[in-house]
Amino acid sequence: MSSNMIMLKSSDGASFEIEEAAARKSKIIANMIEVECVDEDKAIPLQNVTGNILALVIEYCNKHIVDDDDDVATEEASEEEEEAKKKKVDDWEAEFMNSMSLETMFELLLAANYLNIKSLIDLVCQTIANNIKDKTPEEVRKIFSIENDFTPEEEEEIRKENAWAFG
Amino acid sequence: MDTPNDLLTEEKRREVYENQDWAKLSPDLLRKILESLSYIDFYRAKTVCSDWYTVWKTCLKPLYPWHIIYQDDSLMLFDPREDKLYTTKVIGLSDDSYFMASSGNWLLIVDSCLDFYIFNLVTRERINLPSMESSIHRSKSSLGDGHTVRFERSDYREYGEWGHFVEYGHFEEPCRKDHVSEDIVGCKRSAVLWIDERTGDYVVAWIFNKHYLFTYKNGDDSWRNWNSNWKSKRTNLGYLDLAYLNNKLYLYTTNDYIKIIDFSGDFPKEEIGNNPYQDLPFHYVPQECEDYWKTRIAIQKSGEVLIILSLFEFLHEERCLFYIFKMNFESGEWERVDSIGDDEMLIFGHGVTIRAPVQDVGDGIKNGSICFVKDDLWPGYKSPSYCGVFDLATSRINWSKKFCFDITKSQWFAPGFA
Repeated sequence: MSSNMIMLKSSDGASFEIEEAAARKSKIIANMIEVECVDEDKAIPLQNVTGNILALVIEYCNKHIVDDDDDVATEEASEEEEEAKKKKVDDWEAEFMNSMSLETMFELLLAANYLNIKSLIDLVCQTIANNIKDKTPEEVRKIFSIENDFTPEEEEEIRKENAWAFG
Repeated sequence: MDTPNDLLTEEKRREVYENQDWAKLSPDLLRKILESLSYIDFYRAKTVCSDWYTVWKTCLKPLYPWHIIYQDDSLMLFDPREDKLYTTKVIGLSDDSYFMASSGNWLLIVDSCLDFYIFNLVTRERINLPSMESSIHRSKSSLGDGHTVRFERSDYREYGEWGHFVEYGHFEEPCRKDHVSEDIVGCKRSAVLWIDERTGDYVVAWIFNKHYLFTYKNGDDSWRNWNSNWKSKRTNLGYLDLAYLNNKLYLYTTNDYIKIIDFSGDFPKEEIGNNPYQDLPFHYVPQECEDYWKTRIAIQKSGEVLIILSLFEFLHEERCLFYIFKMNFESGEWERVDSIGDDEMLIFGHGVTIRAPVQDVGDGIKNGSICFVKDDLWPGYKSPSYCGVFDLATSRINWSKKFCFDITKSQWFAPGFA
């Protein structure tokens, strides 16, 4: 393999080898590489990310680094090809998020935020938003185990601000 | 029975759950999730809990254009992203409602009794505008030395006649009488609504028969008429379109000038010295294989005026196009532009650019796109007027989905805050 490999270490001590190009999807890791605080023999410790979540992050980065390479190689690609490729990525992302539990999404979102991977933040946020689709506020609270801390009067007042969203 | 192992898992699960306090998700991330919601879900989400409500108030409101469609004469709203139809009953409007313009969550509506009102889609609040049956006096301005005019309701509304427009001459004798029908909200319609949802201040303006301009600002006793005194065709100065932003009403005149009326003071007045477009008429010579059809203006968030033309080109193949022009103040020329910025898009006839949606909402809606209806492109074509989206970058047109029932016409509007 031509590109450099670097090591990442999760908070629970698991080590992962990843291509530098893929790791650069994370702005934080890219920065570390820029300022050369990455020792080639030592793994980068990621205090806030557990091994199972880091594995998902790496899976995502690896998939997307391949796609980015493709983009460079086929700059002249026709619109149909572009569309087909976009569909392939969309399908992969849908599959990737599909069987994930809300707990995992929550952790993945925090990890993506910590590592500053914008496209992954966007993907997880949109998937979480899809989970709220067509749900009443009561159902949303149940899904996310959120306590309703409004008094009935307060809640009524806020509801009144938008009558027909409940219609 | 629970084995110790199960208990442990349960305990561990609960621990994970407790660490995962969704209500306390960092505001930036929660904001991102809320901003990814559809229109209705977004408005519901604020009642979940107080933390969500606090973050909700800082969100960019979801903004993507909806369709207004008419089946026979009954109005419905269509959310294209959610593929959902809302009837007047759900929205809280009467069946006899015709859309003229929108601003934020407010619609400007007229009915066949010639009653004008504004209506808030979210709270269902309705504010009636003064009757246009009482005399509308001329406004002192350089725009016209006009007569008194008024509208009269018709007793024959079931035959599609809404009423008459009457202009009175110098001796208070009617000197002109025009038939008024649904046409005032049809494709000839040019109306604008502007509302500040925080203070409740609003301004309404609309053009009748390309000649008369009526304005109303909240707090005024009655409508104002800015142009009357109909002259013979050649000398008749009129208006083709209007737009409103930052206390200024922009008018596109039939002799291709931009006029500006300032609404910031107690009395609106025309800006003469401060109008940067004063002596800079728009002039476009169509190419040999082009026909242009409609001219509209829109104000960008920077305050600059855009002039948008709908054209028909018959070079190799027949196709429909939109051209956008912007003033180059250095050369004093209106120049054609092929982009309107990274985050703005247009609804043809809406008067201001709107923020392009961040996420993909389908139908080709994105920055640099122009939402239009078929009537904007094919003059006098009597088939249903469907919605389409024109991409300025590629000149391609994306037609919106057809409905399983017959529609008579459709329009675009952008609910939510600008």
